[in-house]
Amino acid sequence: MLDGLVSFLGNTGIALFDWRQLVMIVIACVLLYLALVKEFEPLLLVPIAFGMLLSNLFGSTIFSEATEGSPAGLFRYFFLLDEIGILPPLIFLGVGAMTDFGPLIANPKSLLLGAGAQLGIFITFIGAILLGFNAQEAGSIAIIGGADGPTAIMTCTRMAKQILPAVAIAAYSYMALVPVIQPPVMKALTTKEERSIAMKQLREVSKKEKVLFPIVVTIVVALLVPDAIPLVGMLMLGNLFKESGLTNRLSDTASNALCNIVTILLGLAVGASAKAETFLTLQTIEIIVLGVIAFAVGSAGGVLLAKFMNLFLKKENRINPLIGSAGVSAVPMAARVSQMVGQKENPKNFLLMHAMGPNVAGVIGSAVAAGILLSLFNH
Amino acid sequence: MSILERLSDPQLLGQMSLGQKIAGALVTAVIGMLVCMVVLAIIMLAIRIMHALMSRKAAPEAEAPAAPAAPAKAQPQLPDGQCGIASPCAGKVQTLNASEGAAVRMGDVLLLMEAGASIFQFPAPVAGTVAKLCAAEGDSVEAGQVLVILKEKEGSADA
Repeated sequence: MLDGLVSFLGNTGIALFDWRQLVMIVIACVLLYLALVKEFEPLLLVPIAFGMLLSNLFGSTIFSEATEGSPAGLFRYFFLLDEIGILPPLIFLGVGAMTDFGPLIANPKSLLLGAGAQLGIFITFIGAILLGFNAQEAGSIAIIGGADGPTAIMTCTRMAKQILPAVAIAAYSYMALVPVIQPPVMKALTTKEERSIAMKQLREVSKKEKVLFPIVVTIVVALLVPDAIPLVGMLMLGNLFKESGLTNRLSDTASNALCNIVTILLGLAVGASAKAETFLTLQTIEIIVLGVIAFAVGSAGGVLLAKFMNLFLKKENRINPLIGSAGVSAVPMAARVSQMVGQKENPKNFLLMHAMGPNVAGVIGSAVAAGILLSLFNH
Repeated sequence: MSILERLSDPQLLGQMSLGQKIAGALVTAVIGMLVCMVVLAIIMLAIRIMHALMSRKAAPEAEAPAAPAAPAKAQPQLPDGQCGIASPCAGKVQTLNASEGAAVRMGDVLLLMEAGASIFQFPAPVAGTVAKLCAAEGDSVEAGQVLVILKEKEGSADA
């Protein structure tokens, strides 16, 4: 009987104590604090942090792999749904059903800004290669600059699973920090006069255009970057659900119930994959630093492209460069930042709707960038 | 073997010189950025073409849809010294912080509006008094609808 007791005690959490797990538990608690008290992206960070907590508790088997005779831990199966590429596209379906592409259709120039803001991705790629990451890892880190959680997770799971937790946590944390990271970059690159440019009111977009838009985008992207189709295709399908007016039940489920279910599964899986052995490394710190560079350069790319476009535009059509930074997706935070910075300079200026154009274009842009990286390096 | 393939192989990557790595990364970045631009530019053209085709078809009826847009441009027609605050997007008025006749300073938040799952503040663009509130709490408003009319205070910039 004593033997039995000893072996039971040997399996309790306390006996399996390891300092690295303690560090992970502290990190999980800090993330929970940020999410619950500071309200940093609580909908995403709570499941991620809790998954991290559960998988790092001493002796936890919730993320263990299947062995002969015993099935894998629960979160390993959630992770499998991500690994085989099911969860991120489903989130995109919901995002599509929530997104109004009207401001983009009314001002198609926004698409260029959405592409310009992807500069952060490709510059960071160079930085990551120089730091010694291989191309797959570098691509996955760079995609943080797309400021789009599901895109980053999808790219990273396909190309460099081992760094997924660091990439996902960096991506979501920086999205919460958009109002802190972007304004200094935006102000440094623009003059007071540029920041006060008022833009013409957007034209009205007909329902027909809104219905045709997702179909046209899907066909164009499928022809040019087939690897982006799981994300862009689902995004556009969700949008078609919303705009057709005939599939309200589907659009309601995609944007609410389904999206929430998938967020829970994906958050727990990503959090749980942050095991001490792989997470507490120098690489994680490098990824976090590269991530913030990606964000800042992306914002700068959008602003600079807007300034460049202004050289060719008539005075009354000029773009306020502040909306360029909204081209990193992070919908709608980045657009709100453009609005905030613009209103500070010119209280009568309302840039929000103008910024929504590049903002939603950024979602398409970062999915296309992910598709390009996947087609170059995912063999 | 192409430089991109070598970049993505951990073993071959180790054998590459710094110059080769930089070259490979630059090639990737330039290709990536160009393709990204081209794809989105083609979508832009597609939208333009779509719009052009549709407006040509709808040309005879062009007068009708122009009418509802008029209130949006009504702002400059207010009497001198008055300034309207129009909603830039459709949404719902959440809180009104001012009442008619109240004095406001520049930058005071007059109302909060909910649109697209987020809340926006409407600060007063000028100092003055509230001449008219055109919406009540809980009202759904359209893009371009004037929400508040302010009577500008003459002289001093701050009340």
